[in-house]
Amino acid sequence: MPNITLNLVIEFYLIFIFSLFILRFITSSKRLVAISTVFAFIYALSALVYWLQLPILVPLFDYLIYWLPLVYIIVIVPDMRLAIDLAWKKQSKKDDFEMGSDITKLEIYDAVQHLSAQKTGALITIEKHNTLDQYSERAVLLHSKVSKELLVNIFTPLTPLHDGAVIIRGDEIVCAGAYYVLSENEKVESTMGSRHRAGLGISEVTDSLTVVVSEETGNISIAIEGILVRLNEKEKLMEYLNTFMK
Amino acid sequence: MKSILLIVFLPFRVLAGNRVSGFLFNTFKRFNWLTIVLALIIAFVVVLL
Repeated sequence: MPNITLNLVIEFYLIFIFSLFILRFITSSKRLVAISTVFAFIYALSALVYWLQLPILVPLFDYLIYWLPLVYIIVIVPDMRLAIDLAWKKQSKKDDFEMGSDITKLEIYDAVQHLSAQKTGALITIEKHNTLDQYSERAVLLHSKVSKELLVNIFTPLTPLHDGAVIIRGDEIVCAGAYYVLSENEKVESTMGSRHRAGLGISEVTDSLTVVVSEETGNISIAIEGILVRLNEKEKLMEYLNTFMK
Repeated sequence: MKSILLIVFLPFRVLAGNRVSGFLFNTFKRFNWLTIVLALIIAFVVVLL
């Protein structure tokens, strides 16, 4: 038993915090648990190989043990990114956020109905507490008033901005042509297009609401808090907007 | 051939499969304090070694 010194206590505390952080991260998703279990098994296997001093496998495991942490990090990179994004979601909540007026709601509603009727794909994100600046900085800044005509124009096929997303803050279209990280949710249909996956992706990492209009069917979907809801009745969009933009 | 591969990779399949990882995941989710206990054990072992 070593003497309890201040250094030892600090060391113990830091190792405890670090281990707790890693364990909380690993146990946050089933995928990470599965990957970590397999890697732990390989380490257990290597311990067995070293203990038995198997002549052929020892040099092989020397090599394997050296590279395994790197392989592990590469495999869990998507989960690390998601964890950082979620941590950012908690940290980046603004106290003073502005929501659009009734006119803005109506303009968005009319634009979406028009785009849906024309079967024009669209992706409109309405910001709430979490700032979407990191996405708008890389897009085309507009800072213009929300209007049906402008939204319809942005999403008109074969125009430069039609493929990305529009970000709305308050009564203003902050930018167009924004690109999000696609959702890797395995529960969603595999046939779902990248526009829907992008909408779902941004809803997973921020508290925004995203309206997605399908290019193929003209269906309207809402992505919020990592859930994608397809609206059977197009009029329900107003209810969602009213609830979200309170 | 398929059966041989199945047997060879069985430990990995079992560990990565839904039963083991699902059990571990659910256990840690249900008993949140387990991570704290485990972290304490790790810290003790590392410091004592």
